[in-house]
Amino acid sequence: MTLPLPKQLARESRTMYEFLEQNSLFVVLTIVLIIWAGLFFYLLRIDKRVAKLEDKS
Amino acid sequence: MIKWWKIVLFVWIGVFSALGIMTPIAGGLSDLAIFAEVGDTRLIPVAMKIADHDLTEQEDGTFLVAGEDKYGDDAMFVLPEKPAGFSEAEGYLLDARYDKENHRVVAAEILGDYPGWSFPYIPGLGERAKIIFFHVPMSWMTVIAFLVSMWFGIKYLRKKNLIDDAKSAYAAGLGLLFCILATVTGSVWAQFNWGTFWNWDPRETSIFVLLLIYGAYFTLRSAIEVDEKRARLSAVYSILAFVTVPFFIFIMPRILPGLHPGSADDVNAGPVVSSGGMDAGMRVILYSMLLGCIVLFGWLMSIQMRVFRITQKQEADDIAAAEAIS
Repeated sequence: MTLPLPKQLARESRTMYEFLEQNSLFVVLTIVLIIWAGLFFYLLRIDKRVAKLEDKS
Repeated sequence: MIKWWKIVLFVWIGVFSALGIMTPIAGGLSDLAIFAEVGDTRLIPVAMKIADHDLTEQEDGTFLVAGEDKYGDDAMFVLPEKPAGFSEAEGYLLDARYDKENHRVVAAEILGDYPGWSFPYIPGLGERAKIIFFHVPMSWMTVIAFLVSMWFGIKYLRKKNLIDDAKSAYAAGLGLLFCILATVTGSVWAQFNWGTFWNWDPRETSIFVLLLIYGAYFTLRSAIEVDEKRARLSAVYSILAFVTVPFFIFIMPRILPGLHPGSADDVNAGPVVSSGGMDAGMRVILYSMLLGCIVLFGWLMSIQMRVFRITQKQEADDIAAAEAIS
């Protein structure tokens, strides 16, 4: 099974916005990235709390 | 030592995300016909199985071949070129439109081999339909996290144990995180599907109100200094807040007409999941992602609670030490 990804990458576009409009799959990838960023932010907050604990002990 | 289920969780979410993203979308003749009927000449991906390995070259240099689409409907397909390895090929994934006059599927491009596994083409969504594997689990997790928050709120009111209050607060925090992620991902998707980041669709309005309600929960918590008083008030507030959740998530956006899939006037899907109209493969991935997110939620909760317990113990030790000195 080959994936249609490489051909989609090749579709012509001049700006980032146009690229996303023509290659909808990358809109989905952007969305996955946003979710990862959110979880990473949460991880940072837990890290901060643990660091505080370490300072005390 | 890393516990085995954490590795399983990582692989689980990774595999189902990859399946969700990489599975090609392929339509059939019925999808092509919808666009041909209204004179829309856009290209859509179509899976074609070769019925007869006999290519006929036409005057304009294209090739005619008999085949069937993924749903088993027969048609004549026009290929732009003779693909290498045609005699062994099972079929192709084409970017095509329907030629109404000659009753032929005209391919502009061959995207790849026949996909053994594909998602259906949804008119107006295309590849963007894949957001369902990420955005929808986020909004369901919002509901689950707020439900857990209410559950521990009730438990606190009955047992008056501050650990339950902490669980309630952390669940609400995670719920708010999921709610923000659902809103932001939905908004990015809306820009490309509806043409604007925000247009006060019933679904957008209701999630905005929900964000305000749970934002107020944390304002309330930070405004009260005394632990017991804060715990009691926020427990009561979390119960009151959750009462509104089913209304804003499940009812209001479904009884009002809107752009979001599942609105009252949605002819494509209706309430997306409950109608049973969703493709079986997509449903399996969606539920698997939801399960992965539930376990992830439990894990994040347990990390927060471990930190909380240590903090509490430290504070108790500090007090005991101070009393011993005096």
